[in-house]
Amino acid sequence: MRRFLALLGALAMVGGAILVRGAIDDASGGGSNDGKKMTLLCAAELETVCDELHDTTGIRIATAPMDGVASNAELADYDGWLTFERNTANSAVAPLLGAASPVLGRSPLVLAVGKERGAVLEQQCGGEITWRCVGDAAGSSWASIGGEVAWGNVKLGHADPSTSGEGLAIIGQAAQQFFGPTKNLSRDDFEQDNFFAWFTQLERAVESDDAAFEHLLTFGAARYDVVATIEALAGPQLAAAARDRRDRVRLLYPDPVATADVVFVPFIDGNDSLFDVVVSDDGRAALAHAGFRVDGEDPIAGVPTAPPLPDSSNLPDGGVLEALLQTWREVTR
Amino acid sequence: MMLRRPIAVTLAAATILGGIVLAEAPASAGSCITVDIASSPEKLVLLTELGERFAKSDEARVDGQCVAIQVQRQSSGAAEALLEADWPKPSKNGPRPVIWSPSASTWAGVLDQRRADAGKDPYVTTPGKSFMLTPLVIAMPEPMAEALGYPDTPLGFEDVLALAQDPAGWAGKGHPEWGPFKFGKTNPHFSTSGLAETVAQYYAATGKTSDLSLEDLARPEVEAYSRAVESAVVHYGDTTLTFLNNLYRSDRRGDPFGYASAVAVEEKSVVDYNRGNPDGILDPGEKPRKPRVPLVAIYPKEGTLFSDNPLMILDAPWVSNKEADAARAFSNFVTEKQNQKRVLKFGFRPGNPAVSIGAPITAANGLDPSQPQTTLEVPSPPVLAGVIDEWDQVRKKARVLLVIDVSGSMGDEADSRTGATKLDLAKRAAVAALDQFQADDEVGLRVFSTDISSDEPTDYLDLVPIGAVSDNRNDLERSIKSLVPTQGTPLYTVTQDSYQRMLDEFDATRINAVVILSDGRNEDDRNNDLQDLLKYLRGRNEGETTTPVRIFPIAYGGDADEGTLQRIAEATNAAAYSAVDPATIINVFNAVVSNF
Repeated sequence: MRRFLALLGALAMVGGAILVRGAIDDASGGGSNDGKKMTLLCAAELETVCDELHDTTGIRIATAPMDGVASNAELADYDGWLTFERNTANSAVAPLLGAASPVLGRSPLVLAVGKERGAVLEQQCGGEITWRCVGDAAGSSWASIGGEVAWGNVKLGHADPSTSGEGLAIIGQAAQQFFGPTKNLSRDDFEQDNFFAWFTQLERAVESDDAAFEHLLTFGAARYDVVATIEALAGPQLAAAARDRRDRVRLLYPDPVATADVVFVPFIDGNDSLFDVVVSDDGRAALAHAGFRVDGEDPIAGVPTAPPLPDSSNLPDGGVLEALLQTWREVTR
Repeated sequence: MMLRRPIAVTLAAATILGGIVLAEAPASAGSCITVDIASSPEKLVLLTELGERFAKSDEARVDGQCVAIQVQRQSSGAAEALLEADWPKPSKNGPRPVIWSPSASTWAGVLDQRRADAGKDPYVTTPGKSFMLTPLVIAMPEPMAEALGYPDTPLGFEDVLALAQDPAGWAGKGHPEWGPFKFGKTNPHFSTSGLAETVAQYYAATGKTSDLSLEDLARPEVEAYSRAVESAVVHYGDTTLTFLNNLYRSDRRGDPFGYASAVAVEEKSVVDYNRGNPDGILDPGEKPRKPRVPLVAIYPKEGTLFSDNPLMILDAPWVSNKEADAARAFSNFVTEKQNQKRVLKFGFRPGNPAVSIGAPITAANGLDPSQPQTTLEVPSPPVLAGVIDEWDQVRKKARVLLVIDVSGSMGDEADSRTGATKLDLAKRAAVAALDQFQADDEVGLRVFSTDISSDEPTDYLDLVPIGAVSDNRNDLERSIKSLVPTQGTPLYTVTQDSYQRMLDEFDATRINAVVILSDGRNEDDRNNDLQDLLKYLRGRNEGETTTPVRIFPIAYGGDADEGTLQRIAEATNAAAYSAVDPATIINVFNAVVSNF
């Protein structure tokens, strides 16, 4: 029986591969992009996913940071975009986009802290490290909140929200948690004095660094005290780190858990067949291999199954995030 | 330490400034894509070794073509200056690099800022992969660190620099026998540790750990603080190896506290020093001997900066797409786990976090792998450039006697193409070097050759009295240009008399030094006793409370007596420089003047 099931599975995989290859061949032979391979535009943070898709399916890929997409005059050359769901509100691109796919993969937003400093912060936060409390401590001297003088000031790192969907999600989570998880945020909220002051203190203590977590592992707590990132990046890197470095860092999931959700969005004039390629087993596997949680796929080392994922991303919607980005630009100017 | 090594070190120091040491390319390099790398000196051996391994690996292929790696030595500051000028004259300065690997990413900021100031496009448009790390530390002989509270009390620039400004010196810490506090740091124009220390010093002066601004640099109290710290500096220089070699030599002579109390170096240098290999270079057959008094690393409590040794693929017009692809392949290769284990052997921390920070980064070597606890923010590129400019104003001023050999052999042809003599080239170099002095440095000119003067002493002639460069620059230039070769080389007499002259007129607020350029051996029957000269010099340079006058000799041309000049330099805790090829004299002169 087990052999029979294995055979069935293998046949299904072959069939799936034939379908995907067929979709690619269709695209090369006709449709709106005659004689041209399909091209998938990838958010820069998803480059490894797209590299694997290129290797397994042969589609062409191009990567661009978020602001690069907005200013790219060659969007017509692309058939679809693999990105974070909240990026699709990007006003410069939105008119060119079709309907987004269902969520393909998800990754919780995490805070990475050194164990020793995390314990001090935890105490300062009253038992649980929250964004609100991180923002209150940001830029202060560790000595003033119960830490060592030699630790200097509380330094944070996260990806640049103006170029990275990950960074945008992070400031979105921070803002949402400042106001409380049930608050339905609007643009006006960001003009409130208490939020503006808090957000200014937080983000002025942040170094925009797309490799902040890697740098935390490499340089130790000397470089960053707190790094905000996504589990897909932090979990596997932490698992692969040498024990002496791994043991110094822990990952926290601020409550309620928020997620960066990956979707495929076709360009209106793009080749429809690309959708089949991206949502294929190859596409799902590529996302899982990059550290995302994908239904039906085994997580890679360092990606846990807990905490469970919420039903929705728990992030403000795209338009509100655009407004928050404007506020971020203002406070970090 | 073998006697010939210091010369090797000074050769290295000389080549740092534009000189080239090419790593051997694989035999098949001709048909391959060649990735030229301009590397700071401390990782030349390692990168060359990894380059050879890479060339034999499956990863060394781009579009089916093999890849060869060619590494050239360029100090970070010298490479920055070359890139700023679009890397002119590759035949002289070495091939234009595809990868630039300075000691620290900070140099990329300095480069692109200076290029932007000149209306040029940046060359470093993507951050380089960090190959290996080492933090800047304050290295101190262990008993001196203990006198400040090490290891129980966290120490920092604040403590060390306060001591530097205290007229009582070590007496204030219960050790009058150690004399004044003497600080060793390199010239930030050339050296990464010098740049990092200077940034840290400005942070300490402002009490900040981030957001250093141009306004901060201009504050009078900040300037005063920095000026006071600089006043404790022994001398500067282009490489920390000079300090470490001199410290080691003093230690071996049983005088571990006489030369310097603290030196700003990279952590890796402490490893090398405590292994008994202060310059990090082991000659064949050389057996390192551990110092009597080891150094310990103070990780400044205010924070420090890392040298992150990035491999930066240049966005320069001479870099083709294929070369950039090949460079990326090499960059990936060196950060692989098995290759990263190699960097530990060289005393660096691995850039790949999958590799543990293990031996030799251990307490037994005076180090602490859990340190540093915090870092200083790297200032923005305009502020970095401002730090260097500001340092030029506050650095310890110099009082230097230039002593130039005008013996007959200096008239020998040195450049068959132009017919220029050795003296012609030396004159050009000396005039060019005058530009490196500040207006309030004091410089004089003495020439020597047997019977050059009709009056006693007949072996030398003072052409320009020591005075402020602002006053006598034209006289110096005119006098240098008018030099002509005459007779023999009374090297010992002029060395001793010049030293004595500087000692007689010693100015404690300045770096007091003699620069002697000589192309030959002592040719003076009246004074032919080298041992006597060395005894005289050593007698005035040992012990903790000496008045430090340094002699920086330049061995010029193939007939120069390098061994003797080296011993003269060592006797005064300075460094000898070699310009065996007269064509290198301009770079060598620059290296010498970097000490001031």
